[in-house]
Amino acid sequence: MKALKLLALAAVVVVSLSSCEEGPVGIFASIAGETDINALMTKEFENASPAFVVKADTTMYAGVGVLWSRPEGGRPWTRMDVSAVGSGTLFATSAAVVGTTLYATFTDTGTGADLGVWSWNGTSWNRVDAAFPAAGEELRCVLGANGQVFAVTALHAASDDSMDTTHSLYYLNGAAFATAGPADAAIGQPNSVAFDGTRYWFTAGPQVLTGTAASAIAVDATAPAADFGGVAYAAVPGETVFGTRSGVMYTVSGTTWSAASTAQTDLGGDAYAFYQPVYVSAGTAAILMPTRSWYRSSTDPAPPGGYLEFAATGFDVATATPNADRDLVSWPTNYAITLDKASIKSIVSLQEGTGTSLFALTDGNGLWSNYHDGSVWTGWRRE
Amino acid sequence: MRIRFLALLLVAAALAPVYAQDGLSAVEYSDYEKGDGIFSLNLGTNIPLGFYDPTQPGLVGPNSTLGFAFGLSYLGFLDEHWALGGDAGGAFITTLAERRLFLAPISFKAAYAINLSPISILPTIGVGMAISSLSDYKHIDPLFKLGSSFLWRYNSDVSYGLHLFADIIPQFYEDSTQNRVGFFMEATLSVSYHL
Repeated sequence: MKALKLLALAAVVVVSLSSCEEGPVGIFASIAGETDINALMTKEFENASPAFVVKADTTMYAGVGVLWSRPEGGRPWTRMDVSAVGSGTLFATSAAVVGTTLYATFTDTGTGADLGVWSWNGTSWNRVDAAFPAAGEELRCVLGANGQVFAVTALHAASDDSMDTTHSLYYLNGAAFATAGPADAAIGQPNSVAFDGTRYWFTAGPQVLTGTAASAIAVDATAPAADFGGVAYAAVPGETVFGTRSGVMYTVSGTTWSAASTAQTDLGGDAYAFYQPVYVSAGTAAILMPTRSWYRSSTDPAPPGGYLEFAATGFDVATATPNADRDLVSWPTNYAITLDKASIKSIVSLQEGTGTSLFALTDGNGLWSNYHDGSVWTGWRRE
Repeated sequence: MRIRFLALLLVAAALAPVYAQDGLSAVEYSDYEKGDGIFSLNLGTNIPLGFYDPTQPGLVGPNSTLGFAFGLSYLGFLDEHWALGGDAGGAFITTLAERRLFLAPISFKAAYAINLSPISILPTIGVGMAISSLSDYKHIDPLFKLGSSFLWRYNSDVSYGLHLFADIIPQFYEDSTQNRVGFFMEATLSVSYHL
């Protein structure tokens, strides 16, 4: 009977050491509701941090380390031949699409050299503006909106004991890049752009850039003081939505800014860091705001929390609360087993076939997609 | 030696009525007696059978693959047939989405030993709890265990065993739409020590 007592004691110890933390869905219920989210997975994507996903003509392109492509609505992803761009292993770091042309930037992983902006028309690669960027400037990325390609560069200058970095914004004017306004300006790095039908809106760290023409972009002096992570235009409610790295959302309608009354936080009260949001028109119109693991300071880490979803209809940034049911673009079990607590830097929405595909670009957890065929979502699954 | 002993036992059993008529007492042989104990180390597999949603008819498929199971168990005999005891174990199960479910069933149980020396069959019923862990989430639920152990006595100290048990785990949540009943089958082999 001594052994029986020991077993009973072990049981008591195990129970006392076990906390009972309930998730958003039941453990058995979530398993019962699982789908094969890995059925379409590309092994090389599994633990990657994708840089971009775009669509040009009838082909989808992804920068996941190297450049990958797949036919619209088809699989698998295959590595693209970019030997015309350079030799060695080339990482595709950013992309934008105008019409049926893909514009991409590459970095030579062997030398670390930026290889400039290249265009792909579905047949051949061509260097865009061979004189760009100017000597001393480092190409950061290309951005696209409203059929316009923008390019961002950085310039480092020594100042006393520190290094100052300034940024420039260019737009593609015919076959050459021309300044869009900010030139070697003391602004953050422009990292996302949206077009609201009248104005371009860029997030650039502490600054917001805006302008009605690609050639006349300037810092918006009326923007609130915040560290901006990303921007998207939401056709419903007809506002441009900004996410910040302090978990506060802003909108601008015309040129009138509105702010959320509080930061969005996790259950522990830690504010999220928002990045590039997306407006989803398929199904129930929604605004998805990705959260990213981010150190605002060494003592202030932002928790990864997947994405927050908001119903677009009736969206009011001042009072907006995330949809707790997690059912606007998937369903609770699907969300729980895929992107819950993921660090997501952006979500993009692309027309694919007769439906809409969402792509979630995570930090180290691969590329995820979710397809709406006109009536239902497939749920998130690995690409 | 042991076979001879068993043969003698069988002869004795056959002759028992005769001796009884002559006023001699019969002796029943049993592998177990009051105070005996069996301590077992188990290794094997856990087979997810499915989940029952109280709001839906039928079972939902397990969406999981065979798992790895291990455990310890003890039975203490109250007489030559009845025994009480308990067991504790664990099982690692991979789900369709390649998540890892860990189950830790802990139960108190009652068994009835059917002696077919050198084999013993021990139908068993147990109640207890199961700790479930999946990703960052844990849950503690009631457990009902039903099944049998089959022991082959290698010598006076050691038996080898096959254990087949159904674990029935009702899982309750504040949000009743998340309630499910999980069904799992443990199939393990053991080495059992007679104490």
